[in-house]
Amino acid sequence: MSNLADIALITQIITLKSPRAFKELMERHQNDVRRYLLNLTGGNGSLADDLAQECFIKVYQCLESFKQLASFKSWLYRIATNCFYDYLRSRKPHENIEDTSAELIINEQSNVGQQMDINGALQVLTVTERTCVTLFYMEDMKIDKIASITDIPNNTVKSHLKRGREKMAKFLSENGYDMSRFN
Amino acid sequence: MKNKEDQWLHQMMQAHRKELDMGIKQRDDDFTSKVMSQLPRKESRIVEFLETKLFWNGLLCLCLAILIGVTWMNGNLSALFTHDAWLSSVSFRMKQILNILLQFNPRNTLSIDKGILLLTSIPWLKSIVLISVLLAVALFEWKNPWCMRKDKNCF
Repeated sequence: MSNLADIALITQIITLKSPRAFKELMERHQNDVRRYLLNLTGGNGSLADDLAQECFIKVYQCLESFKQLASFKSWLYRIATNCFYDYLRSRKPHENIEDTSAELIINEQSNVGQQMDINGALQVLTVTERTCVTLFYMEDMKIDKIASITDIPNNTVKSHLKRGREKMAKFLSENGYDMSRFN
Repeated sequence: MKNKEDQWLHQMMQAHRKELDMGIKQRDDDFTSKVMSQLPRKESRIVEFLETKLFWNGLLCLCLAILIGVTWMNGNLSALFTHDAWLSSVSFRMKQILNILLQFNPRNTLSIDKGILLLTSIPWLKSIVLISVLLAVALFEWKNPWCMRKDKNCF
């Protein structure tokens, strides 16, 4: 149903070049993209939003190339991932994303400590591991979808997930989180 | 063990997801407007033109020109005003305006049919009324474009 609504909006955008339809499409998905990029950038809100803006502008420009073979959401995540990888390639080698992460998006009523620990755990991972872990555990994507988004084989995705899971579990255990208390 | 670790991590990440979603909502930074303002203008020129005042006024003038031109070329301008069927050939908008004009008749002695009868029986009156109606339509279109854009002044 959600995918059908997306396709209806995409058709309007392609045929009528309707900005109103694009706005609606963006409103449907902006939360997911911003959250995803927020995880990839280690909680750097302004950077994540800049990348999300770039991502949606690319979507608008390239929408005609969307073949509808995959769901729009997968395609959108793929573009968001590429935006993040492009950013990593373009920045200077000594620059660190965390150095610029002055503005963390933190919910006022939240458990700030836990949020920072999870961000910290994600930062322990390599970029590809972080992408796979975020898509699998947070965005609830299946392995084959993650493979198509990241453009790597299914088995490699599984390996990245395994390593990522182990590293995160180790980091969290070292920071006082006890998995044995989990029911 | 692996399965438990998996579930534990999944639960932690889902809790983190909820927190992030709430954090993003609380920002209220008008993200959509920022992106919309940066979009390259890609609206179809045809759609854009169809929504302009120029198109609708141009279309009206073209219709009037064709109507008058064809009649004039036939060498019988009065045929336009004498033929009973002329009313059916002019646009629905003209019919509506004629209807409105006839409603101003205080004693209600004129109906549409009687009005047409009156018009067809006095040639110069027909001409005056028809030209007035055409002018009224042109003025109406000019002052109130038949625009579809929500951000422009319409009716």
